[in-house]
Amino acid sequence: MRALRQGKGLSQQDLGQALGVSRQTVNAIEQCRYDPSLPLAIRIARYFGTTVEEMFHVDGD
Amino acid sequence: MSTGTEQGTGTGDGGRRGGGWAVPVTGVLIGCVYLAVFLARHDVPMALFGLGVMVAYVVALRLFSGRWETAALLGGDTGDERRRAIDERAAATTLRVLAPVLVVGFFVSAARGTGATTWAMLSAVVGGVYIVSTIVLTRRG
Repeated sequence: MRALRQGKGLSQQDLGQALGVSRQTVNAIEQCRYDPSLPLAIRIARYFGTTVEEMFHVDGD
Repeated sequence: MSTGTEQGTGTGDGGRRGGGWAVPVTGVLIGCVYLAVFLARHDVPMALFGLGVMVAYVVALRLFSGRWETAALLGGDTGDERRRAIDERAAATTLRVLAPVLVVGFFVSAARGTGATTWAMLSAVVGGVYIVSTIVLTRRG
């Protein structure tokens, strides 16, 4: 997610505002410290014009 | 990945953003009750100390909530799903610590023969709330 965000020239704060979450939550997702809920994952994927499967990977897959 | 129940609304959160006034008002209210209780006992220093502590706590939360996420959460800002999850986990941890403390406190007080009623009542409230919550949340799915 970090690469996509930086590719759009967005800060974590900008992305957080666009997604309706805090800057810290964006950071936690990027650091793999927090797994977003399915609705948020879908919002993130839609925001970047991609799919949830391409954005997020389950360990072991 | 967790699967929340919220719908994709665009903002996607039902939490309180910016903290609101619930926690500050409650904090100051507790300070005022503390003040009244100790003034009634003619203990002015303790009355002022209690109010001062609560006011300082509320002010500190307001000052630091912008740059310190913990302060934002303690101030009631559960503005997104992660913060709500942290809030719920912290509450669950508190219960897991509090429940054994109450039970042990009850047995120790009962063994000493000193005022076990308060411990018993608190334990009953915690247990009752837990049971009712479990029933309600189970039915809601």
